[in-house]
Amino acid sequence: MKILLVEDEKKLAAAVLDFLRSEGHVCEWAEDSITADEKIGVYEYDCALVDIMLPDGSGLDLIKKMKEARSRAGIIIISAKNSVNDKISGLNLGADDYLTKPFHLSELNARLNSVQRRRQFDGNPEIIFDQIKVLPDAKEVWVGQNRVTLTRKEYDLLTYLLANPGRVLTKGAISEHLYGDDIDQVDCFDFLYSQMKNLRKKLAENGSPDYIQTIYGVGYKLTA
Amino acid sequence: MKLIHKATRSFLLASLLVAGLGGVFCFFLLKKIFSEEATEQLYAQKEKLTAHLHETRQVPENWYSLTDSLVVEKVNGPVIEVLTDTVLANPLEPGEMLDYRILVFGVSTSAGIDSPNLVPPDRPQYYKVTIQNPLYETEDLSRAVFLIFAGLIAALMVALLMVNYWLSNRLWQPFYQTLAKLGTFKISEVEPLEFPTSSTTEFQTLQKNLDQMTSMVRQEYASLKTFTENASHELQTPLAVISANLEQLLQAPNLTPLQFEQIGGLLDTTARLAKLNQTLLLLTKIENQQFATRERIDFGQLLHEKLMLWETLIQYKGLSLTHRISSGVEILVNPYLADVLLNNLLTNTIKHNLPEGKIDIELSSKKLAIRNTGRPPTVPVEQLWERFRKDSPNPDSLGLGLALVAKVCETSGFRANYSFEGDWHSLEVVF
Repeated sequence: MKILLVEDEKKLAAAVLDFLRSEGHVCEWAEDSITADEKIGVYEYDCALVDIMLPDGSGLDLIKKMKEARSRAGIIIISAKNSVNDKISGLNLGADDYLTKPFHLSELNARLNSVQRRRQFDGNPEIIFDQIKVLPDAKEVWVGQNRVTLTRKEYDLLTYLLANPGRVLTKGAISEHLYGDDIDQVDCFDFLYSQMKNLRKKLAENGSPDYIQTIYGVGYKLTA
Repeated sequence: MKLIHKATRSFLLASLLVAGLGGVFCFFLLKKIFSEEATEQLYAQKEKLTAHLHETRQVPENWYSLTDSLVVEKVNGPVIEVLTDTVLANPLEPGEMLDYRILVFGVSTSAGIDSPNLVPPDRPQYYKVTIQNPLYETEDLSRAVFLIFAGLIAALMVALLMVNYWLSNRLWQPFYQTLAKLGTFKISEVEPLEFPTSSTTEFQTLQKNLDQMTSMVRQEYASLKTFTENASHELQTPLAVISANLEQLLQAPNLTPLQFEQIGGLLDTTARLAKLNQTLLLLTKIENQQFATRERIDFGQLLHEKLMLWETLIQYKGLSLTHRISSGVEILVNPYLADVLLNNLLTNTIKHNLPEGKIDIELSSKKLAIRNTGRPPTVPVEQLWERFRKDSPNPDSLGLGLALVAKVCETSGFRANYSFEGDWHSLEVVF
């Protein structure tokens, strides 16, 4: 994907750019809304990650301009302001998603993937990882010719792993994705372990190799 | 009590006191004047009679018939003059007694020239004269004085009420309007309070000071709000930098298990810090009334949704859940705060439960009661609502859950009660 990152904090931008490039995306970075405006006028992007608080204006204005210019790019707001009003006005302006700082890079990856899927109307809405095939619209999981019946949380867990193949995902990032940040994550860690065990068991029962690697004390990694 | 009533009351009390004292003083003064006047009249009559007797050498006949207040009788020698007061029956109204002043004196036909050698007609004839004059009655006098002063007070009261009515209608009107205007003051609004114009200096000063005060309070409030938002931004961004870099670091090849664990630990700590910051900011935002808008929320439906979210965790922990949720319970509350409230209450019951414990939830239109089994609290119950006061051996628990519940209840007009009985923690939110 070709992604535009609009973020004034250089260090954060550097880390995000590093991550996006390591995921194989083509990325450009705009430090302020003037630069972002120029870039949007010249290039076509698949997705824009927009910080709301920019040194020379609000990211919301930038989103408005993009929508007025009929840009086809998906938009994900990244904001430190966990403000309900900003979220609502951002989504009303046509943004696809809203992430509050600090966020997990793997979470950003998952959101990017779903934005990409929503954008590709004509494309193939399947997620394929080696022998595993997921049909997001129907929420179906197949291993070869076998359909795997998963609970909702197990399905969410699997798609989160599939969105971040080859990355070490911390238990914190996974449980936040599954449960939001309403519960102290530590309480969920044992629970996550048991769900992961069930997921592995169900995949194995349907003839899938064990792709999920446990990184002791940290989390999990999906590897082919 | 209204200012005008207080002023009127004091004024009335003062005038009553003054009128009372004045009445008593007036009564005694008048009494003294009348008494002196009565004596003077008696002596004036005496002078007249004496002069007449000396001139005509005989007592006038017609004096007897005039009134029985003057009695002249012949005596054989000089009479000593006596002035006395006495009580006699009223000749006009039988049974009523009247005060009289009586002057008894002697007169003789010669102007005081007297000798035992003289014989009549040269020898002077002595007379004993008794003049009695009714005194003004004390009762009548006090009645008259009372009537005069009562009339005066009544007239004063009428005048006072009229003046006060006029005062409150005209003079105090700007004050009352200013008061009413002040009652509509909302700290979160921007438009200045428009006070009614007044020509009274005191009211102008009051309005000027109120204007300054309210705009200052609003400025402070606005800057506090900005600070809250900025603090969030300033802290969240560095946290995002740390967490993003750590996550990237975690993807580095050839990390040892120890390095994995160290980086993972740092990530967890950063997440905790971020959560702590967010929760404290949320508390501040609630305190700043930034969630003031309210909507009718179907609490039963929201509760069912939340239970579905936590259902698997409840099952996993081996907890048994019972609930009685009335349908159609609509509560006027900020939707975001309702979410915060239910999440905190439910996760609390899951977190602080016993193995194989129980959760019992009851929702009615009056209250939401959430009970769960658990260990008895080790800190005093009233301190459980304070920030960072936690009754949990879990070092990763923030200790802000109940503080949030208390704050949400406070701003939403709910009452939160906590009690521990048997093995049951019970938390009630009374709408």
